[in-house]
Amino acid sequence: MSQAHVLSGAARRFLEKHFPGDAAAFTPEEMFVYGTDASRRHAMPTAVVRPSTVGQIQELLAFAQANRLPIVARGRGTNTVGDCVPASGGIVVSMARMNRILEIDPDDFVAVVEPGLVTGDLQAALAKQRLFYAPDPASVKFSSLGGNANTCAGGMRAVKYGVTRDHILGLEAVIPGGELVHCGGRTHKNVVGLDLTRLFVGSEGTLGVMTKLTLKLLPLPAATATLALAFADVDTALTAAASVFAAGILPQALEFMAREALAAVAGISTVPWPAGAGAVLLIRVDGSAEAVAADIRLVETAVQSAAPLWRQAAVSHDDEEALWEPRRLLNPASFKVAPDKISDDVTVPRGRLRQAAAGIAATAGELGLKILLFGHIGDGNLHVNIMHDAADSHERARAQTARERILALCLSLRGTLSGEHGVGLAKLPFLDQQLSPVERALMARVKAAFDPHGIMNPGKAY
Amino acid sequence: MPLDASLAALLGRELGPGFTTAPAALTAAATDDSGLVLPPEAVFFPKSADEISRLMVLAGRHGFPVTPRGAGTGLAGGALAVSGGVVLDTTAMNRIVAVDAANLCAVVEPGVVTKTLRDAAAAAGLFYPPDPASLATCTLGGNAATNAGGPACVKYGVTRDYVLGLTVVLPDGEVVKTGTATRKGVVGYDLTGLLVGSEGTLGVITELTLKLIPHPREVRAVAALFPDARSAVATVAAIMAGGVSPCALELMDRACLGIVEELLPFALPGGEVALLLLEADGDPDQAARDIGRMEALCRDRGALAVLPAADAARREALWDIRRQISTRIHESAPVYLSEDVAVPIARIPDLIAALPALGRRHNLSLYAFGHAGDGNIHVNITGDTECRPRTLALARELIALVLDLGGTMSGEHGIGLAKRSFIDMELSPRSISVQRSLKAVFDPAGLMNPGKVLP
Ligand SMILES: Cc1cc2nc3c(=O)[nH]c(=O)nc-3n(C[C@H](O)[C@H](O)[C@H](O)COP(=O)(O)OP(=O)(O)OC[C@H]3O[C@@H](n4cnc5c(N)ncnc54)[C@H](O)[C@@H]3O)c2cc1C
Ligand SMILES: Cc1cc2nc3c(=O)[nH]c(=O)nc-3n(C[C@H](O)[C@H](O)[C@H](O)COP(=O)(O)OP(=O)(O)OC[C@H]3O[C@@H](n4cnc5c(N)ncnc54)[C@H](O)[C@@H]3O)c2cc1C
Repeated sequence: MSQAHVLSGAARRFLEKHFPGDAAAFTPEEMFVYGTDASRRHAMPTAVVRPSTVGQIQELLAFAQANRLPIVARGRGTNTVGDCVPASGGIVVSMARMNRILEIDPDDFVAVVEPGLVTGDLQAALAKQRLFYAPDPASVKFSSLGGNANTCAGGMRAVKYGVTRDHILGLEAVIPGGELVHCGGRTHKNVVGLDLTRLFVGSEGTLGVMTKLTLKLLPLPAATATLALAFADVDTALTAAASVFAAGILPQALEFMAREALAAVAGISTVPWPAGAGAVLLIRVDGSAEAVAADIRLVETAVQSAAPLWRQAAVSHDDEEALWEPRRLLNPASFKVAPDKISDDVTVPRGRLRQAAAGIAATAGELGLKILLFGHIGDGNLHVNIMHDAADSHERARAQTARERILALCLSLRGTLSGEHGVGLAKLPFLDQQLSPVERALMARVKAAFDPHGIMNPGKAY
Repeated sequence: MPLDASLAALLGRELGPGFTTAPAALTAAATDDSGLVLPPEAVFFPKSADEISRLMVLAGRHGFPVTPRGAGTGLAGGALAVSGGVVLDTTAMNRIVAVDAANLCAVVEPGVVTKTLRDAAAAAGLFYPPDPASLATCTLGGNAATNAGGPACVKYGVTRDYVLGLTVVLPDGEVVKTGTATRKGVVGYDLTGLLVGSEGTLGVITELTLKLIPHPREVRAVAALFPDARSAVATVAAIMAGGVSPCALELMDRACLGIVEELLPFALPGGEVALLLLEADGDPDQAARDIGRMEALCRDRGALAVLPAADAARREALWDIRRQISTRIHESAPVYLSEDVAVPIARIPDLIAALPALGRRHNLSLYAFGHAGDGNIHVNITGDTECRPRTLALARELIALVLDLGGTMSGEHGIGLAKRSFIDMELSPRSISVQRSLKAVFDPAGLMNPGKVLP
């Protein structure tokens, strides 16, 4: 066990002093859950702290820098790539207690929040004032804004509104050594100096601990409506999706599920679409009530030539929810298909989706595996769940081969290994396939500019 | 080290005919639209990233600075050579490599003029939204390096939001590709985001992959005349809060209207009137509905006149008025300083209200216009030859006020040379030192556009 896994007496005294009472945890029982995340990997933290003030984090990062102690910031641990797993030991900093909404300003269209705030809680508070924070990862009800910022989370609405980075105007972070930096501001435009905000967003906890976020708000769209469509096969569905854009419509969300994913959901719940469907599209539009009705008609016309097998439109909140619920059940449903999965969120240029989907289906066939395919195809973002039983070593090896082939395929289509989940531990082995040595070296030097001793989330990402 | 005759001769041999020390070329590269004059010692017009790499390797070996330059329409002096050396002019790299309708993106060389791409995209039914008022001349490389904004940004976002990936020659001559051709990507630090807006201080952009979107089917414009600037900008705040999403919301104050008077489609009344230019786009019904709601809001808030543009030609005429303003202000006086402060939307009226007293105190003429919808107001200061110190004093006071209002000293033009001495009013010492260390990561020898942005 390396030094990092053992807490020195001095370090323990420091933590007890600055994180009194239940603000620090040292026993394995208490610390266990802080060693894992939605990647299902685990490593025991060296210690866990739960700060409630920025000052505590500053003290901690000064001490950690001086003593070369690894620091792993943690939101709600819902990332799927092992970002919160203290693989080389370290002090886990849970941000859960720093979860206040500091300000909602309906005139400036700005909210200032602490990073531990759960995204859905902010959205609920905003909706009361008819305001809107656009990013909505499927984990919106249980992931934090700090986590969203550090993974640059996407979500259903990204096709129209962009990802988390497009909605962070400014932030405050503590960097190794304990100093506080402020980046950006609260104007919707700002070009003063280098864009440190952008650099921090998506940095997977490797540059500093975010302590405050200034978020861009929009007026809440007056209305939404959803159109669900089933098609004979994947290719037809993806062709229909392309024709929606070609018709000049930018939907709020455009989700896709292929046959195996549909079957998985049907296995645990009733579903609205016909049993023989080869693929389903869920298309949501937003705007004024009139615009929404007009857009739904335009979408219906646009997809006509792809001959949908079934269609259902919904305008009331409850009817819309009924169409979207199966999409949210996909994650739990997947585990009924097989005990284990390798989950990737590859992204390809939108025009290459059909090629990517065909290649993935061929890989599944060749290797005799069930691969669930679904995702935010409005952005070219495909979620690929390679289902298998890890206890069967042959099957596990085939799943690994499938993964390698799919990642290589997507890169050959000018895609990216990850559209929204990040690199973490899970994708680190593949990073060199996407980034050149020059780029990686540059990123390493960027990291060193903030974190010369490599204490922030070591072993992750870059 | 200065570029002496023997080094210049060597560079000529190594770099070929794109390299020149001809006086006319030096004079042309000595100015941009900042009003500053700083001639370089040589100018290089590369045709490829390889040639740029070669220049950077030579710069490293011989220790001369390199200053990237697009069309030189920058207002902050970013493209001017502060300490001699070579200006790297990208205008010969002006190919549109691809407009890809299936993937909704374009790949371009940095010297492509913004309007050329917008037109090429439109011909394919696609839209590249960033539209700096200089779009007929400025380059996409310059737009990315300054993170340019424009009227459409109130709805569509700034240049940063459309740059998916870049190819960049680093100061040591190495070539990196950042970002992706996809709409999303979270692999690695966001180097694309860091390079956008870096004003040529981190590397030379040699290729851009830009996001395109479906072209809106219809655009409608209307001009609304208000009794004063305050009531105009109060209307702006009301529109932004009202749930309509205008695709342009431009302000022109009385001083601005005065210098374009003969272009106006109405007789300019006396008093402190101000004009708003509003646009909505989308499908025809929606554009009509949105423009209708904005017209109603303008009337409710006391507009003296509401003048819809009946057709494309009249719409273009309104934009011509708007675009003429900065040129004419520039030409109207020997000394000219362009500030482009931005404040949170609700604070625009406070900013506008403070301007007349500010001008009077320093005895200078002020013009206020710009992208009111995102709080970005261009405040231009003019005066006679001896007034430069006064313009700087006024600028300093203006920036202090804007920062008090929760704003920023630059919404889109950047810092360059012109605003460098003010930057520590906005950024903390720690933020500046972090930025310096990032600059050193890319450019340890300090050869890329030295003397810019950071103090
Ligand atoms: C069912 C399910 C659905 C999901 N759907 C989506 C989706 O649609 N789109 C999507 O993008 N993701 C999705 N995810 C992934 C995950 O929810 C996101 O990555 C989310 O942003 C993580 O937030 P978190 O609060 O759980 O962060 P964590 O997992 O706790 O942390 C993520 C990273 O952020 C860092 N971090 C957290 N807080 C801070 C801070 N204050 N300062 C510095 N670093 C910090 C951590 O060190 C870590 O590197 C889903 C996950 C699940 C389980
Ligand atoms: C009449 C007028 C109206 C304007 N309206 C607007 C407006 O609405 N919005 C707005 O944002 N700006 C506006 N501007 C300012 C200016 O047009 C923009 O800043 C524009 O983006 C500059 O582009 P350029 O090609 O002229 O770049 P230049 O002025 O040549 O250079 C600007 C900066 O970019 C760097 N640079 C240029 N090319 C590269 C490259 N390939 N690689 C690395 N660095 C590079 C230079 O070093 C310099 O720092 C206006 C200017 C004028 C004169």
